[in-house]
Amino acid sequence: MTHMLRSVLLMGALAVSTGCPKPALPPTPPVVTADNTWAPDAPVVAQTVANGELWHLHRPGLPLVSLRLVLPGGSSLDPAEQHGLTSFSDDMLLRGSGDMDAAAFSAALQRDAIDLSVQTHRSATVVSLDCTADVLPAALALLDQALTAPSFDAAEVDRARAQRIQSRKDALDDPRSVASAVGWSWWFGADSPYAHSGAGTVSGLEAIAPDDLSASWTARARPETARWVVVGDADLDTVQDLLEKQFGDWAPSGDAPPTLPPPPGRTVPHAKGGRILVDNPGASQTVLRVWMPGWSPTDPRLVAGDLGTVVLGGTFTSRLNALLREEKGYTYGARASVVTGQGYGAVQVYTNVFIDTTGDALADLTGELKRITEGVTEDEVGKARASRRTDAIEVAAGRASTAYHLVGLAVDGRPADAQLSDLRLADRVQKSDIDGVMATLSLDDAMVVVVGDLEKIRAPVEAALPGDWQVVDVHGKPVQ
Amino acid sequence: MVTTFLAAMATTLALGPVALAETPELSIPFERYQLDNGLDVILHVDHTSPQVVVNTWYDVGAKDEVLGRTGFAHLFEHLMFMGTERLPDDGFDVFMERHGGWNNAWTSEDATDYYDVGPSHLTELLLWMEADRMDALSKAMTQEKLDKQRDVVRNERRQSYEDSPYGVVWLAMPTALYPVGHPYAHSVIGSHEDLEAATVEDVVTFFDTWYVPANASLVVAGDFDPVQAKGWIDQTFGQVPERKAPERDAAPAPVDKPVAPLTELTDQVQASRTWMLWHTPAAFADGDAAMDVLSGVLSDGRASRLYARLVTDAGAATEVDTGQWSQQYGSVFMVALTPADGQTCDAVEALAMEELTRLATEGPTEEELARVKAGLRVSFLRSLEDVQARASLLNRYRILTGDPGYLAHDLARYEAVDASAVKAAAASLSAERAAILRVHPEEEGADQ
Repeated sequence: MTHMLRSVLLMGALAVSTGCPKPALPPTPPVVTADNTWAPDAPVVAQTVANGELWHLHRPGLPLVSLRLVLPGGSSLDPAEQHGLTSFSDDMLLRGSGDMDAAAFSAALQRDAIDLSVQTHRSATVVSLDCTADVLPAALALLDQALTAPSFDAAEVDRARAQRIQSRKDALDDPRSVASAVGWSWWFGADSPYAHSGAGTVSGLEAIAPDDLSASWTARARPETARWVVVGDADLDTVQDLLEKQFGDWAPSGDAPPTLPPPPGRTVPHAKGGRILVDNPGASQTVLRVWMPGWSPTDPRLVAGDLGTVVLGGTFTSRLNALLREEKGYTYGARASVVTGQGYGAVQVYTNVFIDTTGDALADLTGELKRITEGVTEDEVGKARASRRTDAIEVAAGRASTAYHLVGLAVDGRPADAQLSDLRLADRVQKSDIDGVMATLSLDDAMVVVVGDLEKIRAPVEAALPGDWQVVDVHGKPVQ
Repeated sequence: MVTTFLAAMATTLALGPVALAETPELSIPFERYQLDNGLDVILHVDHTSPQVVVNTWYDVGAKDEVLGRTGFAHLFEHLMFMGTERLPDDGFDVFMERHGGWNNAWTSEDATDYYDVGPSHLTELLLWMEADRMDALSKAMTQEKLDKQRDVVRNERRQSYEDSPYGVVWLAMPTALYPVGHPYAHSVIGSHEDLEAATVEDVVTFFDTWYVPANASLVVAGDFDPVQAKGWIDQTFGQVPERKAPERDAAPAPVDKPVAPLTELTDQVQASRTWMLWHTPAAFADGDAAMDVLSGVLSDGRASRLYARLVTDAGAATEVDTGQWSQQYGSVFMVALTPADGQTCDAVEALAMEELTRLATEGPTEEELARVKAGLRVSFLRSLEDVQARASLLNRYRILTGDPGYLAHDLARYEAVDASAVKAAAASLSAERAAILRVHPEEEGADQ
């Protein structure tokens, strides 16, 4: 039921079997000669429907196609009293369109084993379609129907609302989700259109009417602003022909695209130096999260910063995991990663530690955050480079994973060949470049969020990291 | 090393008529042989991506733990990364990552699987490292290593179950389903008490008993030269001494009814949720595939039986989920339901039972069967895209069926499921055979 995750020649062989003495296992690991000649394919960039842009990679072999449609907007468009509107509206695309209700549409997708889903980011909506190549025309017809004739049926809206409210309640039960939501809220600042969770709030979801949902979608459904990403067993001509045939008459129904809020332009927390506590009575672990300053997607220091962050916490043997898990046994795992979106970037550090070790763990964690600003070793740089190269190979091996990666670039406002250029740049980046970038990270600028049983952890937390600690509720609002 | 049986083999998966009509065939070609020490070796060459996977399954899991040592198979899995005399301390991870490789492992009731992944030029290194720990892990075991990983595993338990919403239900399921003494009567993660009781002597005994070449299967998959790889395997795994294969108790008799028909639990959650569980046929046994198809009919998509009845029509639930957990000594079928506001666990369980009874009487429609089978075929296809998944699949087939080339048979058993098989599967899920586990918000208590 459960899977616990841990984290010569043939002739020579035959000779051994006939009684020759066996040598022992070699006493040392074999020498590795690296082959770093592989490079990812960059997608072809072409124009498509209504002058929208198409990023295409032909991947024959298995008859699978992954298509993504990226539309600007996202949850940053949510009105202040209707947090969750964009995501809710996007969800309704899958809940009935044309003459099909939600069940009929779902059955039509299943009949041809078509996966269709929608993800709402802060600055974009991404529609994902995965299918076999032979049903691509039928899949595009269903996608067209969903995009251009969604029903927004009132009963289905109520059902979706109930499910989304349940999901929000579930998220509030999970201390890791709470830490993430509270942290991002304080990172952007409560008044920022980027601050709230795209899934919304219970009160925001309750305030949304069916007409609000259809108006939200109508304003954003504009082919001229779309970017299409297609990876798989369909060549460029075929894809362009199919898109033009299916979507050539797709016209925006609104007067003009919605006015997008300006990108947040944030690489330092709004709550610079913030120290935030959230109570979680009875918890056996404490969630520790740190938001360090980062780099926006277009910052030329991004690749060096990413490699430095890999050294800090990007792999199993990175500094944080080596210390907090393997040496001290405080946690099941500790990691750090660079998080970017259009106009913002952060280094995020996360771990859950046994409650009795909270103070020691926080002291060790912040100690590592200081130490990384003092520089990295050549060995660590080599390891980070090798890790990123392996990641790129694995991404490129799959159609859906490649499409996912390209969507990330599109949402971040980066060019289609950024994976290739990043990999080449990573090979050129020197230790001194990484040292220079990591030296700019300051714990004084960082925001720390701790979720745990305050009665037991508050004193050790404040002793481990003195500062102006503020208690907030699970929604991020200060409590007395 | 000696090649004792089976030259190059390939298994071919002829795809069904729906969705994949244009696809001529799919396969996981492989070559299988056995070393003198009893280790099964399976080579699967694929040059489409410059990566290699070394996947080693040991035929040991939580089912093989002894009384008072629950969680030990999984704890041992962690200890496999703690170094040997040849590659001490954290060398396994450090050395691998230095060259762009990474690894992980998992433990289930039935098996333990270790996988190492990296660019092609790491093939020889990964083989040496896996062989090194198969040969001599226990010689370097210390109390300090055990203590460290014990702390890590206890934190895994806290993170994944104790502080995870509804996590308590997964810890309670084994005791609700199986009688004391049954190999599945405890959780894979084990109890804190038993984890604390583990000793270095336990580690050495476990290694000597279960981590022997004849109880393992090695898959090398990806971009490598098979002739060269055979040489490396001979120089590494081929040098691991033959050790006595473990002797197992006979498989336990199938369990038909749960130990506890109703278990009420509380957790720090805002909504009640219920899980209905039944004992079902073992992995790959007759009836196992029908349970997967039944699951699709019940809960895949908004046209599925339970979703349509409980969520759309009655508005009684907000979410439904089902699944067949296929296991060696007997599987478990699950129906998980989230009652809507104002609804009770009792009410949604009753509705689910009505739908199961209706399906057992009327059977699925041809349309329902076709939809579910189309999804299963394409999920097979998608799983074949990833070389890591292919490596794991070859070993799963090898360990659980004895035949790494079982892929074609596996798909065929799903194709063979007809309406009557699904009816029979639904009929087996009777109210009197169910174990029900409910989780309620702590402030409400177990009275709903």
